[in-house]
Amino acid sequence: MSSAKTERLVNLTMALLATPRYLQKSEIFRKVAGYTGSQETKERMFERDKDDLRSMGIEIEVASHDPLFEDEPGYRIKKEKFRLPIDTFDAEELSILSTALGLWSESGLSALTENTARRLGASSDSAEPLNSYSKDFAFDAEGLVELSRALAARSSVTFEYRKEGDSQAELRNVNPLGLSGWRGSWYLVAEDLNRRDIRVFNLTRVVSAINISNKRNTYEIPSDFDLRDYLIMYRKNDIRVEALIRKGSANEIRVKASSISEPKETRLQAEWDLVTYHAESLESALREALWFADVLVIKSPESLKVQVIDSLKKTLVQHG
Amino acid sequence: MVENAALRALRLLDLVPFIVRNSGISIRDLAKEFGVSRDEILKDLNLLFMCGLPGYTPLELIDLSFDDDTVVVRDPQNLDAPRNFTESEALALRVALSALVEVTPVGHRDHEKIQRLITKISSAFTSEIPEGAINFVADREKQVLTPIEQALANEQDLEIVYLNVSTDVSSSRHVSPIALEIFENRRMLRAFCQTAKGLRTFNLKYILSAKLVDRSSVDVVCDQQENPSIKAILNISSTGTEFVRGNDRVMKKIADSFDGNTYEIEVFQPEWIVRAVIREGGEAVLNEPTAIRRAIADRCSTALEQYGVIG
Repeated sequence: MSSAKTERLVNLTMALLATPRYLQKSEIFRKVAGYTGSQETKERMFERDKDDLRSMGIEIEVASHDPLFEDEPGYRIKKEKFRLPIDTFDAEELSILSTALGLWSESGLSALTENTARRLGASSDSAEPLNSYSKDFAFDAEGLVELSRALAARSSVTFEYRKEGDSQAELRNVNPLGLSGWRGSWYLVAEDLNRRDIRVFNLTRVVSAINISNKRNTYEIPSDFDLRDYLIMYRKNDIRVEALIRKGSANEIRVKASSISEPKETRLQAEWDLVTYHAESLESALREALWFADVLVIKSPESLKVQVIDSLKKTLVQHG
Repeated sequence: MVENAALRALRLLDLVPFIVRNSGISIRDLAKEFGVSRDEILKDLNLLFMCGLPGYTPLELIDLSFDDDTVVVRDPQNLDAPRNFTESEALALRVALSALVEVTPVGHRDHEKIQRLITKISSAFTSEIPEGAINFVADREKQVLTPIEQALANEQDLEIVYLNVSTDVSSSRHVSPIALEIFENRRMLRAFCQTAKGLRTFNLKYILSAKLVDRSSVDVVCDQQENPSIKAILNISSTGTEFVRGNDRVMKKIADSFDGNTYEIEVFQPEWIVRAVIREGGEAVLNEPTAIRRAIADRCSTALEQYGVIG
């Protein structure tokens, strides 16, 4: 009867969560309700229980009990990892969370995200949705759910992929590194294990089901990984501009800003925002900066700033 | 079945803090929230009676009481706070929030709130998946295209927020769509603007949002009259091809010389020509009218002063 196992899993979780130090297997068998039978049976039960809890995302830490002795390992669940680290969200935050998680509602992740929402207190029953523009799109791309799962577990995946211009699909085996939603299409950036190189895959060109390996945590994603280094949409000559923009103006720039913050200088804070944004080239950045010359002051790159000033001087002389 | 037992255990672990937070909830609502039957919830609650901390005396067991109308946890033991995100959940939430902030126009009050929430969440959770591994860029045009196409098909009106790039002001307008047009890779909406009472053309790129509304009773009058235009005389240097390419519909060459050409251009908004000339960075010189010529010089000195003071 499976309720015995359910009960044991709950008891094991609570015991591992309550212990201030690591519990050895023998202690677990002695103290936690539900471990019965021969030593071998108990061992098997415990191994499966541990795997079950981990597969549900509960982190069990393992450590040698005493570093000086090679004795059996101990187990515990860290309280701060088990519990939600934020327990207060205001009503506005809850409605944002509810709306965000709701974007998955038409996908295979809906059960998962509904569970998330409920724990946050942001289920569709209890939180007001954000009144917005988000209704027109949802995460329903084929394969997106599987790839999100694989990425979260750091498990490799295999799928049939048909490259642009090829008539035949090919089996690919990859470690997912990142996902990018770009103007209605989804792209996977992944390490191709046969080609030993990082490649970009358009999800609409995946022609088979995506198979996720059972093995978890088989690779790491470098902490400085940025998928923009691999996507041609983010062209290499794309330049990052930092400028002061008068509050409430240059909306065309604000629309594409990557960040808007307060300028460091206190005297500027009342009237100006510090905005960073990307431009396709130095040439287009110059034209934008000149168009908004009355409300936008370039801070960096320096070469752009110099060109703006020179151009303004030239135009001033011509019209003076 | 092993998997069911594990999933059920997870539900039990979640039930306790949920009841703590929603003390007094009914069995029916609880079943609805957790998406299971009333019977299953009753079985879960009965099983929870048996769960607790090692020792398993009444002092260590989870203590709850319930009837049909109210479920109360008297002692949750150490299950008082909701369970943390799993890596899958954190990822799903991050993708969703980055998409949500993307489709919310910068400057809209929600944009800043979403951004703040993203910071709040990312500083509280450590993830194995770095910041740069997830991104989302919305197809803004596609988002407004859907309501526009619907409006055209069903003869409905639209309420749009439109960014006027020349005056740098976004405004809300009520429009009756007439046609979608493609003009040099730009998608344009031709519509009768009920707010301005005239025919207007809107670049889809600058329609920040579009909402379907019922067609207003105001007739779509084909009143072609827009703002009266003025004539300006421009010298464009031989290298200033960008300007000519962008405006060839409204300009006419009236003289040419070795270092450039002189054009007559029809201007609907003085503000536009001031910005457009400055944008050319010296490739375009406006000779007439003098008022606009002066406005260009003034704008340049103001801008240069700003660079001198704060740049």
